Amino acid sequence: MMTFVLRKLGSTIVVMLVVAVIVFLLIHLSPGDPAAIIAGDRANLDDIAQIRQSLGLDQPLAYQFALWLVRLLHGDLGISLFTRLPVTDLVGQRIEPTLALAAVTMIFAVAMALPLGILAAWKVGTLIDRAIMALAIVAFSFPIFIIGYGLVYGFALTWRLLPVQGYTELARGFWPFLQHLILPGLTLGLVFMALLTRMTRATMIEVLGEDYIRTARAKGLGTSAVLLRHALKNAAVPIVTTIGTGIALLIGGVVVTESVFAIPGVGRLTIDAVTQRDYPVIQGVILLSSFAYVLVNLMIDLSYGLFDPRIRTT
Amino acid sequence: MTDVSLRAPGLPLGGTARRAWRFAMRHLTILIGGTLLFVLIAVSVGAPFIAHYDPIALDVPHRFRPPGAQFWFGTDNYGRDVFSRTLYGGRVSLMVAISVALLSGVIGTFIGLLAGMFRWLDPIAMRIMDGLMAIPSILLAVAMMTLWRPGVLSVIIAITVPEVPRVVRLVRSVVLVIREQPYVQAATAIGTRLPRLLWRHILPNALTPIIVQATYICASAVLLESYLGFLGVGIPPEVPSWGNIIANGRTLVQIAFWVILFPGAFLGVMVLSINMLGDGVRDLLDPRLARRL
Repeated sequence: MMTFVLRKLGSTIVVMLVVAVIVFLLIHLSPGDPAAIIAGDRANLDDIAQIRQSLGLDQPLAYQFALWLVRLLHGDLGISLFTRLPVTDLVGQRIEPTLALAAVTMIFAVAMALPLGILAAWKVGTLIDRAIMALAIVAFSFPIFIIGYGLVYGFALTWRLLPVQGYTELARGFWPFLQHLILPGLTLGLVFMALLTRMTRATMIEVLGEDYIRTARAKGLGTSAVLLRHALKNAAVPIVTTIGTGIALLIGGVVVTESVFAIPGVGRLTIDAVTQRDYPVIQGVILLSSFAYVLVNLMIDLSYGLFDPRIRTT
Repeated sequence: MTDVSLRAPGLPLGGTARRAWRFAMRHLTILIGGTLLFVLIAVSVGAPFIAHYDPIALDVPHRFRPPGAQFWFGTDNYGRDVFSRTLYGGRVSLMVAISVALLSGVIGTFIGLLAGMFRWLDPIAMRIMDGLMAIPSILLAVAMMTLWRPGVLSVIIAITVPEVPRVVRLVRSVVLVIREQPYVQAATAIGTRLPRLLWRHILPNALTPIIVQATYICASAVLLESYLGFLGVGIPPEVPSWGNIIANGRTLVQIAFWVILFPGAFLGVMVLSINMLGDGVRDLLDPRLARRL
């Protein structure tokens, strides 16, 4: 078990290092002068020189990278060009709404996808299966903002059941907090649900064709016991893997969803940084979200080893 | 029942309408997706003949007209016809999507083939791909767009880069299997050189999954272009791409919802039709692929 954990940990660190190098090189591989582009069209030479200096672009490449990496290891993601505040502080101020939205999205998605995927696999080839797959492919194809505005039009403007947009902190009561997260969570949850439903169905169909399922049925087990206890348990690994890799999609979706619903989270911070061309903030958000993705997937990988001894040795 | 399974499923020999009908019914997703996509491509390409208004010219007296007989999809805050803009926008989005699919397909296949063939290159290439895949594609594209001069080419590259690793992984996994096949070993044994080996023996067998993957990339590129536009870092605003129409419509959503609704719906239907076509072609060409993509 120990070597399994160490090996996974090692490869995670390598991937994080690769992410850091890619993000670092992004600004250096850009055609043209990034400092001039960040400064904008109305900037004079002094402004450009100042931005170049504050981004450290006037130093030799290897020196810049070493300095940047050392700072990164100390948890220093740089200073915002616009607010002059550390990027970590800015992200810290905005993390609550984003995590809340991600959690609600995940709950919605899994709560919808598992029953739908299992049902579709069980009734494979029937009208129910086709209807579920049609729903999944539609939810997967329409842009987040169209789904979002559609839900707002129905639930918020027409039926007045939920607020149109905005965010209320958890400290100001659970219901107002949740109320503001239902529509955004549902919007993004539908997209994520589509991905998960397709995967759940495909995996369940494969598992349901196994001999031990026939044995379970033959010995007289009820449908729900066969589906949930025998089939779903064995289909769990690919499904959870899809949840893990879907985190990247989720993070990207959060940026758009926060924008649709005016939620003051990390996504909103990123978009404001884009309009202000505040590159250190964008860079910091990319690094943090990629690290979050890598770490969640590490945790998922390690949990497999815990539940299934066969995985440890492969 | 006549046995049709011995014949190529795409070619109803004898030309009987019944066989064609049966094929269409069995592959309903291809039929619906293909028809939808064909109609959308036709109206986009034929935009100058279908739409009577200039998609760019300002016509301020006619601003904010709701959808009606004169302006089918209404007009926006500058009096521009949303119908014209939606059709012309389809051209830009299609062009971006096809370019992204081709570029990421070619680059990804190249890297994937090499990574699959050279054991020393494999771990290096795959760790770089793992790193790229860990970065959410929207964020990566947004970062590149902030650093580059805005333009159609920049958008194409910014969407291509996050898609490449998906192709690389797929091609590599296929190559690792094909490499061990007896006919490849036989080809190596008689002294076939590497470029010929890749081109004649390995690539043809990897083509089906690559085509299916490229279809999905097309769909996701259309979506990503619209997200970049929505977030304000897409193609320069004067070009009527779906992303730009949506970016403009977004600020008007409270007063003129039609500016964002129609291009958004067109976009959704286009992505849907491409995805359906992808699913259909995947099932048709290789049912075993269903699990891997």
